[in-house]
Amino acid sequence: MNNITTKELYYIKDHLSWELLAAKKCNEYARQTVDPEMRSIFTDLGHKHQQHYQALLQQL
Amino acid sequence: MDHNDNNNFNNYLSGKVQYHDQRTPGGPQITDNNYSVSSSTTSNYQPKTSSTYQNPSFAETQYHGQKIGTEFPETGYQTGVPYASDYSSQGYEISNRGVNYGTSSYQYTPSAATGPSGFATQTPVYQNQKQVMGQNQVKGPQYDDRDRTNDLLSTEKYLSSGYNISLNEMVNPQLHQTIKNILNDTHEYEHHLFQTMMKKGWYQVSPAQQQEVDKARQKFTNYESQFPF
Repeated sequence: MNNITTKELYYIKDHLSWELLAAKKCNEYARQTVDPEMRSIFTDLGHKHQQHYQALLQQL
Repeated sequence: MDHNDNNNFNNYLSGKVQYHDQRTPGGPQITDNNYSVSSSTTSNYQPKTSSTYQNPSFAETQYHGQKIGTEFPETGYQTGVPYASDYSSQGYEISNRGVNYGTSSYQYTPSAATGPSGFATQTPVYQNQKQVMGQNQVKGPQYDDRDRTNDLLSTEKYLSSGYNISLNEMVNPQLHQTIKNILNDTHEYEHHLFQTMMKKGWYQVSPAQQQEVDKARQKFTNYESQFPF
């Protein structure tokens, strides 16, 4: 989809960066923790952010 | 709002009872994220491998269907009413002694100390953790799970703020819907992280003084005379 405004593009680029950073952070925290319960939470959350990234990317 | 039933608030603290406006004025207030170092602070969370308590995952959003708690007449919110971000109802049951997390050893025990309002005034802790940790445990500079969760909580808040702003600028209908969905998701994740922190005793809230609530209700009830419609 290309029918977007410059402002929309500006925001989407920001969102993409933030989601990628969030996913990487979740992955890193999942790697650091020794608690399986928290690891599961961090991992799930990271996957969610990655899905957001893909959803946003599809809008471009 | 009748908060005389102390159990309601204890259930709220444990994440059992959900309020839609959980952190808006009128409900129990979030104080801040400061880590207060006290004997009840479980800074070094140690997983209990023998525990069968399963934290609800993000995928498990289904509500079990039982109605929990009571209705609050003022807001009309019913505790236990299912909604999209209800992650907390998996496998819990309320007993007279608190909330049982399945058959695990995580016997939730609200603090016995109560303030003038009858609410518990101390952060609830898991009894067995308190015994394990002992007294006067002081948190050092180590970056632990509590910090990690708190940081992700901040991240979600930051993201939701950003999405909320950009949502106002979206022209393309499909893009508008996508951003709206993601915004809603982000709020759910934030809520889930918050509840996780509450369950672990990592997040402190303090209930509003009943007297102040009564005053506010009286004041704004009187303001209804100004209604233009």
